[in-house]
Parts: sequence; structure tokens; C-alpha cells
Amino acid sequence: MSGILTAWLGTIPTFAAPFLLATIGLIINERAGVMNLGVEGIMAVAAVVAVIVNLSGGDIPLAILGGIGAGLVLTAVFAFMAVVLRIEQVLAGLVTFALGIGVSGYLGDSFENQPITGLSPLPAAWFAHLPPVLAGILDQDLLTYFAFVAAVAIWFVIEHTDLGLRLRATGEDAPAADAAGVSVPLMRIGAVMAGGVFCALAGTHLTLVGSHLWVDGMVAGRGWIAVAMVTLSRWSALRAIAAALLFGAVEALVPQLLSSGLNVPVYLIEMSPYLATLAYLLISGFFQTTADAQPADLARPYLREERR
Amino acid sequence: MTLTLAVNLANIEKSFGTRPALLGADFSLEWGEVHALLGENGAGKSTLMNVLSGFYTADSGVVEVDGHPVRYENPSAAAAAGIGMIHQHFKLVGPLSVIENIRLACARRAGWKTQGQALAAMQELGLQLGFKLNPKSRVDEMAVSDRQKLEIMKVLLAGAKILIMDEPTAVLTEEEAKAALGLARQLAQSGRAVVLITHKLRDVLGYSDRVTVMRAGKTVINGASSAGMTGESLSRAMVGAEPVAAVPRPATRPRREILRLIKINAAATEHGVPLHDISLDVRGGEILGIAGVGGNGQAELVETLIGIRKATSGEVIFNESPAPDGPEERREAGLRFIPADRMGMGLFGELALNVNVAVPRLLGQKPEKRWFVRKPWMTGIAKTAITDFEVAGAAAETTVRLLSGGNAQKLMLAREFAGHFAILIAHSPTRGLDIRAVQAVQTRLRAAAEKNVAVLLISEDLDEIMELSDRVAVMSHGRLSEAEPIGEVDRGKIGRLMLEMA
Amino acid sequence: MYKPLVSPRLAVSRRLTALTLTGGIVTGLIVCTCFLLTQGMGLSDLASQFIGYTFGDPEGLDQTLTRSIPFILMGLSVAICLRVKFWNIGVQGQVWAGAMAATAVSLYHIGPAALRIEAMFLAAAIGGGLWCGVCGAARLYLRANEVVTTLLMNYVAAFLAQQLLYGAWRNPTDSYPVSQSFAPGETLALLGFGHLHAGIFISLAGALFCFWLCTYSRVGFMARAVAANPLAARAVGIPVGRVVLLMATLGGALSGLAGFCIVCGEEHKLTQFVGDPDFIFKSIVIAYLARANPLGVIIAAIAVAGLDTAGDSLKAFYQLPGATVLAIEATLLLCVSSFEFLLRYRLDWVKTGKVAK
Repeated sequence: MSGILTAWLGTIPTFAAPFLLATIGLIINERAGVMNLGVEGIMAVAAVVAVIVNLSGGDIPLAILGGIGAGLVLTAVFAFMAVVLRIEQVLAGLVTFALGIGVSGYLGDSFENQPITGLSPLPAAWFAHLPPVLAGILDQDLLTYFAFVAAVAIWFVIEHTDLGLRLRATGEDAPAADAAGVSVPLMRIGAVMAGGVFCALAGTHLTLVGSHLWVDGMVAGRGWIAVAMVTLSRWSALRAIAAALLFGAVEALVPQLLSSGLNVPVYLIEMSPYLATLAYLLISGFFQTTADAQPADLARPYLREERR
Repeated sequence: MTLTLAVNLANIEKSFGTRPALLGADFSLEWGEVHALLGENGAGKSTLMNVLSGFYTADSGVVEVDGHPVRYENPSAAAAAGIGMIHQHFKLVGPLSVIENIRLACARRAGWKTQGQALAAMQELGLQLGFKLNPKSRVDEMAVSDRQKLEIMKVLLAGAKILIMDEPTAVLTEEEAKAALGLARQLAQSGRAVVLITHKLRDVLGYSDRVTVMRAGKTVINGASSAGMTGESLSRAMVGAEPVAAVPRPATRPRREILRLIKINAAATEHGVPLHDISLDVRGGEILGIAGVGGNGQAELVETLIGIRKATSGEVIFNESPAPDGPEERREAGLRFIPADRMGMGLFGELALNVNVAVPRLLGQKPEKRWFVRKPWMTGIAKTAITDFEVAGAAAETTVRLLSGGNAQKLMLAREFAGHFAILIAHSPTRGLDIRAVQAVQTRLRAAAEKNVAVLLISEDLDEIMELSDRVAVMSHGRLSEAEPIGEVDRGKIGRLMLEMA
Repeated sequence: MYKPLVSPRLAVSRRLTALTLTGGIVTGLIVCTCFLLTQGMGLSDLASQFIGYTFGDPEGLDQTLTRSIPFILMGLSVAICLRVKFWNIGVQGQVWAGAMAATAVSLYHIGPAALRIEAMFLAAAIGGGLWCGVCGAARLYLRANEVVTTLLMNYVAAFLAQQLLYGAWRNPTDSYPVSQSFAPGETLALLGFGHLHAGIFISLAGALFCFWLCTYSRVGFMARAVAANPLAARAVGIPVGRVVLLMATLGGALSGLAGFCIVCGEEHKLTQFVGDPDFIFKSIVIAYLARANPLGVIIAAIAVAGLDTAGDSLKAFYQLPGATVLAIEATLLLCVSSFEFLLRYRLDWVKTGKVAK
């Protein structure tokens, strides 16, 4: 039993990291007032390009860069639609999502199911002197560590720097931010692109760390769960850590249960992360503080000459 | 010694799409003066100043600041040149704190690197101006007069030498208004230049050195000294003709009570105050006026009356029986409502005129049409509304947000006055309207009262209350004073009541 | 120096609307054509695949029309919800819910045999309606964003279906995870043209009903008001919550009926492929191209179904992965929605620099 416990705990950060990265990216977007529903598509293209680069002989850093680059191209399309053309953000996000799924399916067609070396965890020897449970938790790869460090760093930038202040103002009250001298379109594009980097990293994590190969549809709705997680984290990157760990824990449990040999309803277990997200969304709706935390100008396009 | 003008605007033209706003306006500002920019609603005062402060760009004309021709592409550029505008609707970010708002607007220009520097600058300025604000307070939890002080500090800390105050006294009580105008004086005396955009004659006569009057996008009086001005001459310049006669008040004939509130308590709206033991009664044929500055419970009162806010205790009585719950049922019981924000809470700007007038008739237990709402029927009512209520520049299919303020309000009236109704709630019905539209609306209110409707008029415009009401009550901090007949009330008494109830 | 100035457009003529829609579709088609040309297809090949086979060849036309039956209902589903600014991203889940409800009625012999298929119809509508209605209620009472809730419900339904297909409902005599086949009285009759079945009448009736609802009924007007300004709608007395809930539930029911048409009209049992994840995006494309107009949905649905048919042969003959069709649809939607920019805003060129006296 303790073997399963150790294995489970040890895999939680691996499962949590993509959620965390994607959620951080979305938080940056939404605090600036932009709702990016294309995250699932961005993750998909980043994931597939990372695999393609690795299979074509590129090393890990190049694969990560490739993934980020691909994600940024798609993010740029979204930024153009949502901020410049001021298309309804939900629609722009859905188009981005479909483009991402379509393009990634097309690109990855001939690379499916081919294993890659991917990213390995840090050397086990570093943690050998620790109790097994702790060693299991701490022995992760660099990208996973980066996710958790980035969450704290982003939280700090948003809450305590002048740049973060301008970002927040843009999301709460774009006309007031404009009057205060912030260029709303530039700030929003910047936020979308910066957020896109993190969403792309989430995608590269899925393939480089998680599965070590590409299969069409492997993002499996994690991007959408990240969208829900932003609400659950009440738009705070720090709280996102807790939310991501929670979901990582649920997702990490699935393979453990499956391999335990117990007779469990497989599909119902696979359903549980999504049900859990739904449940949390509904429950958090009871609390007013969640609604208050939402940036007031979220998903409202801004144009200065408009007589509001 | 000739001093350069702080500002010189000449022949400014500006249109929004096809709608012209400025048709050759002039304005000049000297250093060290308080200069009033006067005009009725829609004359173009705010637009002209928005051009100066970089919020809009002029289509043509001369813009000179401190002797140099300039063209500001955005508010930032103007702010860098020392122009600070305090808008009528404050440009503050609600959920952020006082110090965050100050940092947001001033940090780059003032060169602050830490919050400590910002705090120090804020405190120093506070001493100079003579007031104190808590840097950590959330802006949306602050009183309106404090928010205005914050706006002023913000603009000064960003280095403003030329201040433009847009309708600064609109949202203040008499006492607060005096303080704000006194501050304007003080700032001008310190060497800056202050523009006071206003439509209130008393602000001009009491507190400004010179006055410019605008009408319909043009300048009618250009920088004349205020000393020789009278209320009548200014009024005539604003309107362009003899002042319009006041709406005649018929002799009162008290009738049956139609609306009564007994000790209503209700929770506050997002930025309002809770209602505390509000009691009032309105009789058929009378206009009960509720005076008071906005934000003192008017929004809550109105929402409770129309049925979209539930009172936590107390009763609402229509015609001596408890009022039904819900706006649909109250409307059916004869309640009609003119909201303060006609595009936000009243009309459907995106939809056509005929749909706007048709929708209320489709509600309730006995809607006029249920299964087949046809175009000819809608067009019919639309045409009747347009003719009967003189809605200009509109046809049945016109999108409502294209209508001017006055015509939109006339449409609002056309919609609400349809059919038989017994109670009319009018919340700031003439806000933002030009003088002819104001007259049209006020005539309609009187006419409704004459048809035995119980009219409840809630307005920030004291002149309007005094002119129209049969009885007057004062609303302050969520409480309502006893209603008194108009003959026994004057402005001084109302001002005192507002203070007493604080 | 000139720079562009963007300002909101005040009046929109019907001609401009038609022009931008056409412009968007044409541009999208050109972009997709260019891409397909790079994949080694000639223009005449494209024409014969996309137009000739899809609409001209009996087999292709059969496939297109049969596929369009559920697509019409799914497009209506999203369109009805859009009318109250409710984003229905859960069509796949609602289709599953309707299909599972209908299957349950068949497997458990609910109701008299003579009325079995009517019972299945009703069950499918209720199943789908509940699946979306729950999200509508969540938005109303718990301020839950319907984009996320409807989306998550897709996964819940899909996994529930898998669980049943591999478990309690599995047909022991079949090697695939499918349910037992439906009895003859529990299927929709064929109409004599290929696979086309009686479900087409359901789809067309659904479109007519929605058209009446949106254009002539007072609910339709209330929905318009709610979408335009929910606060003003509330103040004037419209029961905003009930209207949104009604439209959301109706939307879900329509998707549920799409599921009914698939299981009773095509598969005649519940299979793993009843609820295709692609439905989510396809239904949105259909609704958007039709500008949420129920009659326009019929045309858009047939067009998207035709795209699917062409996509199948592209997969077979040119080895293009299925995801390509999704990318094509996304590009179409991208172009159409980008052109809409011209409807909402006008672009003027203004001189920068000093203003002349």
C-alpha cells in the first residue's frame, strides 16, 4: 500500500505542472481583461512541435523553444482577433482552439506514437538521503520545478510591481487605465503573448515530461480545466498552485488505481477530474468573494473614442 | 508685459461619425485664473476640453498650449504637457487603493521607484491642499467627494499646471460644492490655470474670473469677465432666446393615496447606501419630489419600488393593498418607471425603435400579442409613439442608440406612458438633456399628474424639484425626511435637512 | 503622415451585412483552397471532390444529406442559445445525453411498444434539455460561466457513455462495445434515397419551430431584449432568468434530438461514435455562419455536412488527417468573424502632425 502512496505522491507534481502553467498563462491574460479560450489549442500545437523537434534531432531546450514558438504563433492569431479586431473573445478563443487542434492533428499525423527521450527528472542520487516519500515528491524535472517557481514569480509581478499594477488596471477598468496613460491595446497584446508562453510551456510539458510521445487529442480537455481553474484560484497565481496540486492529485490517482488490479469502473474514474472541476465551480458560486475577484472589465473590448 | 496664454483654442471642429459636436469653437485660458466654460447639455463643453486633454483629436482648428501649437495623440501626451482633466465620471480604478491609483497615473511621470516615494509625495500634497486621504482605502468604497479629491491629487502629482474640472459640483452637496470650488480658487492663485466646465450659473458667478459660453458646438461669449455678468444674460446666451417659461403649476387638489411605503429597509447596491426606515406616500394627481445628491439611496429606493430589489423589511402598498412582487406584476398593477440611465437601464440601444416600444406590451398576464407578433402591428405603435411624443430624427426601424439624448428620453416616455397607469417613478428624468427636451419631459410629468397619476420625482436638480413638486422630501444617507408642501420649503431648508440627516 | 483611426460604426445597412458575410466566406474558401493546393491536389480535383461528389454524386449526396440531419439540430441548438448570449459549447455531451436516454428507453422497454419510438423521442429531448439546462441554472444561480460548464459536461457524458457501453449496456453477442440493436419499431424509417431517414422531418420541423419562436413569438422578443440589455429587460419586467433557462434547455433538447436521430436513424443502436467531439466546434460554425437564424442554419448545416463528406474522401484519397477538416472550418470561421470587424467599426485615415488653421 505504501508503495502506491509513494508512487502516487511522487507523480502529483508531474500531473499538476501542466495545469499550473496553463492556469498561470490564463491568469496573466484575464487580469488584463482578456479571456483566452484557445488555450487547449495552444497547448496542442506546442506539444506536437516539441515532439517533432525532438524526433528530428533537436535537443530538449530546442524542443521547448520550438513548442513555445509554435504556441506563440497561434497566440498571435488570437491576439490579433481579440484585441486588434475586437472580435467577441469567446468566439476568437474557440477559433484558436479549433485551429490548434486541427493544425496539431495535421502536423502530428506522421509522428504519432513515436517515443521521444524527453525531459528526465533530476538525478535520483541528489535525493537518496531523504525518506522515500519526500524523495519521490522532490525528484522532478526542471520544467516541473519551473512551473512552481514561475507561479510565485508571476504572483509577485502582478501584485507588487508597477507593471503588474498597470496590468491589473487594464483588466479592472480599461478607460481609467487609458486615462492614466496605459496603452490598453499594447498591454493586452503583451499580456496575451506572455500568457501564451506559459500555455505553450504547459503543452510542451505534456509531451516532453508526461507522455514522451504525441497522440492526437492527448491534451484531453486540460486546457478547459485550466480555464475553470482560473475562477477557482480567484485569479491569483499563488492559489493556482493549490488548485493545480489538487487536480494533479486526482489525475495522478487514475493510473495508480488502474494498475492496482482493483475492479474499478475505469471510465467513471477518468471522469472524476472533470466532475470535480464542475463541482468546485458550482460550489464556489455560492461564495460572493469569487465573483468579486473577477476582473471587472474581463472580455470587454475597449476603444477610446467610444462614447460609453 | 504680455503673458502667454495658458491655452488657446480657435475654430475647433469635431464630429463623431456623422454627428457633429464642435462647429468652430473658441476658448482661451490665462495663467492664474479660474475660467468657467458654460453651456447647456450637449453644447460641446466636455468635447472641447476632451480635445484639449488629448482624449479626442480635433478634425481641424488651432490648439496652442503655453504659446506653442500642439497636437496630442492621447491623454498621456497631454498629461506630459501639464494638462490634467478631472472628468465628470471619475477615471479611477475602483478595486484598487488610493495609493495604487496615484502610482498608476503618476509613477512614470513623477519618476517614483518605490511605493514609499509615492506615499511621501501624496502626504506632502495633502498638507498643501488641506485634506487627508487614507492611502490604503479602496476607491470604490470611498465617498464621492473623497474620490474627487483623489482625482485632483492624482492630476496634480502627475504635474498638471492646467486643470480642467468637468461639472465638479454635479455630485456634491452644497457644502462639498463650496469646498471644491474654493479649492479651484486656491489652485489658480498658486499660479496654475483652472477651467470649470459647468451648466450651473451660480458656480460661474460666485467662483470664476472669466466665462466662456458655448451653444450648439460654437462659442457664443468668448472669455468675458464674470464681474459684469448676470444670471439672465448668461442664461440667454446659453439658450439663444428668451429663457423658456417655467412649466405652470395648477392649483393642487389632493386626491386618494395610491402609493405608500412603510418603513422600508433594503440592502445597498454595489456603491450605494442601505435604506433605513423609508416611509412616504404619494397621492393621485400630485408630484412628490425627493431631493438629494446621488448615491444616498436613490438607486436602492427606485429598485425596491419597481420590484427588482427585495426590501429586507417594511411594506410597499399600491392602492391600499400590498404591492405584488416582481417588476412584471407591478407594471401590470399600473407602475411605470423612467430610469436615470436611459440607455443602461431603460431602452434597448441595440434594437430598433419599434421593438423597444413593443416589448412591454408583450408582457404580463394579458399581453397584446402572444403567439404572432407581426411587423405591421409594431410599426403602427412605433409611428404613433414617434408622432405623439415628437421623437425627431427617427423612423420605426431606427436603432435606438443612434437617437440623441432628448429624443431617446422622449421615446422612453412614449413607451412608459402607453396604456393606463397609476404610478410614475421618474428618476433624474432630465439629466443630460438640452433645455427644450427638459421642457418637454417636465410638461409630460405635469400632464401625467393632471391625469391623476401619482408621480414620484427623484432628482439631483434642485431647481427641477422646486419647480415641479407639490410636496418635497429630502434623501440623505439612506434616510428620507418628512415630506412638506412646496410652499413651506426653500433651498436653504433643503440644504440644512441634508446636513442634519448625515 | 497618415494613421488609421478606428471608431464604432453607428448604422449598419443590410447590404453591408450581406457583403461582409460573403466576403468572409469567399476569403476563407480561397485560403483553404490555397492550402489544399499545396497538398498536391489540382483545382479540378478540388472542385470534383468538394462540389461534384458532395452534391452531385448520389453516394456523396446521400452522405451529405444524412449527415446534415443531426447537424441542423445541433446548429439550431447553438443558435437558440446564442439568442440569449448563452454559449453552448456542450453539444457533444447533449447529443450523448439524448442518445443515452433514447437507448435506455429501448433497452429497458419503457412504455407501451406501440409508442416506444415516441417515448424515445421524448426521452432524448428531455435528456439533452437537462444536460444543458443544468448549466443554464448554474449560470443563473451560481454565476458559473456556461462556457466551462457546458464544456466539462461533454466529458462527463462521453465517459458515462463509455462506461455503459463497456459495462451494463454491452451487447454480449457483439465483439465491439455497442448496445443491443433497436427493434424495428424503434428506428426511423428510411425514405428510399440511400441512408436518408425520417429524421429529416424532425430537423426541418425543428428549424421551422425555432424560426417561429425567434421571429414571431413573444418569447423571441423577450430573448432579443435580454440579449441586448439584461438590466433594462429586468427593469421593464421580463423574467430574464426564466427566459435564459428556457432557451438553454430548448437548445439542449435540440441537441438531444440530434442524438436521437443518430441512434434511431443511422446506427440503430448505441455505439462509441455517436457523440463525436468535433460536434462541438461544427455546431458553433453552423450557428455562426447562419448568424443564429434558424432558417439559415439549414443551409449552413448542409454546407458543413458537405465539407465533412469531402473531408472523408480527402482522407481516403489524399491521406489528409481528419483534423484537417477542423482546421478548414476554423479558418472559415476566422475569416467570417474577422470581416465582421467592418460591421462594427469604421476605419478612417487621419493626418498626424500639426493641424492646419
